[in-house]
Amino acid sequence: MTKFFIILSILFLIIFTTITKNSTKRLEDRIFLTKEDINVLKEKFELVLLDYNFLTTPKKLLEYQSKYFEKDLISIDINKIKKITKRNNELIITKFNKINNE
Amino acid sequence: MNSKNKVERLVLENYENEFFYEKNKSNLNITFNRIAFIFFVFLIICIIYSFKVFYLGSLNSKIKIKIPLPIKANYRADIVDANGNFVVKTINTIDILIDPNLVIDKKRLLLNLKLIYPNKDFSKIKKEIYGDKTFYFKKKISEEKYQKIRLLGDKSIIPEEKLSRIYPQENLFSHIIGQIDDDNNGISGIEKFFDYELKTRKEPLKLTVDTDIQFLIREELLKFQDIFKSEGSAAILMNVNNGDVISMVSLPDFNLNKREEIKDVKFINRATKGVYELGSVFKTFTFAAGINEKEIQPDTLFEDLPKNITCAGRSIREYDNEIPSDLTAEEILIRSGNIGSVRIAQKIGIEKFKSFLEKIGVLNKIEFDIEEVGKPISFKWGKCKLATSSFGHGITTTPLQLAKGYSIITNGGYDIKPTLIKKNNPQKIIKNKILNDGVSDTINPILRKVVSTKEGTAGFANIKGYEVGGKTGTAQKTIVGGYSKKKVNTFAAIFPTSKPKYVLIVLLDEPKLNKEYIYHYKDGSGWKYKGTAYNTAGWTSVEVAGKIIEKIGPILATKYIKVN
Repeated sequence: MTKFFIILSILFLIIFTTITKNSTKRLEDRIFLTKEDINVLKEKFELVLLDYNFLTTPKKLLEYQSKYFEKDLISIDINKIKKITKRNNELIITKFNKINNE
Repeated sequence: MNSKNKVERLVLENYENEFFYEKNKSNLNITFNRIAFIFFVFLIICIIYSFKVFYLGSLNSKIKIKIPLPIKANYRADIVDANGNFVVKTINTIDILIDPNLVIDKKRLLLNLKLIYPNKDFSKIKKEIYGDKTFYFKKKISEEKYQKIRLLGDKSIIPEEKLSRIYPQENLFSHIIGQIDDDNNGISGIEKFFDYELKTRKEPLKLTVDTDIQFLIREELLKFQDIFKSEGSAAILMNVNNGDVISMVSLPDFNLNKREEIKDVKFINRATKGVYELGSVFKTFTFAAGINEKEIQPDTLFEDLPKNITCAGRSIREYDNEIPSDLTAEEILIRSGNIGSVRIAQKIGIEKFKSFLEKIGVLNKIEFDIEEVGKPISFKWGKCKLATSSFGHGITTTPLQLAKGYSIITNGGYDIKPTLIKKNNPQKIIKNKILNDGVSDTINPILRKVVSTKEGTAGFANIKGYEVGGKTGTAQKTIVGGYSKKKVNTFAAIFPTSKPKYVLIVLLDEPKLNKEYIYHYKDGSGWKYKGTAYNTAGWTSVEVAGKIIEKIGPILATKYIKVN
């Protein structure tokens, strides 16, 4: 009876190890493929970002502005910038620039 | 013999054997014990040493051995700005070569290539295709065109993979980034200084510069280069507390994508390589040295200051003859008095003044992240040198060092190292205080008065909402044996003066008067003035700095200041 249990447990361990190893291998394959996919996507993302950076350079944006809009761009007066803070579901608008204008 | 008598007597007695077992006390046994003892001793020593080795192994070594990383062929890391936008990107491109000796049907090949590149001029190609030498048909072709050329299946077409550096910002960072040669070696700027790192590191190199701010500053410099017809100009915007260079522009610049060989000296990086006598901007250092060495206070009175003094046969004059003869130290700085500055320097003395200038890093060559760094001209200190140095003549430095000096004297006296490379852990930097307490607190309000009061020389930079402070410097350019009439006008600005965050240096190289330019007074009067009255920093560099601050101010305020 003891022998039977020993053989059974050995067999169980062998089968369990085989199944675990197989599933690990499958997982490793999936990790490898995912990593490869990430690398490809990363490369694509970098090229898209390069395109984006090129198309949105300040020089290009000013070109588009003069081409498609009639009004000129003006610099913002810092004193007109306000700070909005949400406190207890209430929006509090305060002065952003704390510098004394003298 | 009677048999009975013959009875043999068998006597059984204990046989006492001479051999008996006892522990051998021979020499051999004694040796064994000794070996065991020695072995035991060695075992103990080994265990102790093992513990010691494990203990030492668990400690963090102070000496870090750097294993050189392998240089990858045909690889160069990208460079990004402070916001993560590409400043430089490496992409693999394909150049197409044609070997005329392998062409089977030259007419057919030409026809096919014309179909792919209908706008290309084929007259030169036609000549070369009927020659013997292999030639470049087209460089840096797109993937789409390459696939079309590949489908021609012609053996004479040889694709050549190459590494290309793309600069989406074109001229914007030319002096910072620098160039590389055809063998992937950096030849100037960051490309040269970080050549090994760029060839080995995986992640992009992150800079401290901001593309938007760099663009706005360059635009203003370009605009005023045209207005004042200057030979060149430079601007540096730096964080006074950590030395991060947010913008560094030098004009003229060049388009990095064109990969031209730059030999003309006018393309020098004026911000770091240009070594100039910067004039009155040095008076702030003289004043700061006096405060730091406790030789003067802002209200220290200097009486009977002459308008003219002579040193070794050379005359030292006041620029403004209307300047009063009795001035406090503060008034000397605000009104930019030459003779008053000489008197302050004389009070400080040569050794202390020299030591102060060395401490703030304006006298010796600075360590920076690009190769193109100028070395201030060394000289022998004497009484006359002390006098002229006090108001920025006969002493040279670079605009970058000027920015560093102004940062230290306004940030509370902490040493900083100007840098273009973004640090991973900025919080970990230990601040080293090199000036005494109170120096910055004394100087900052005075620099503010230079801009905000009528007596000051930098009123055009008084942009509301930014508390701009600073000092102007108008210097004649040196020529062999003396000075020329050409000028270098500089303005060193700090803002906000109540708690300085930024230093802005604007330098105009040989500006000229403009009769048409209209100045808007910033004193609230609403007055306008047509034409540049004087070729001084107050009428040139200050105006440029004011316009720059007006434009970049809102970005700096909202982007770099944390909203609570």
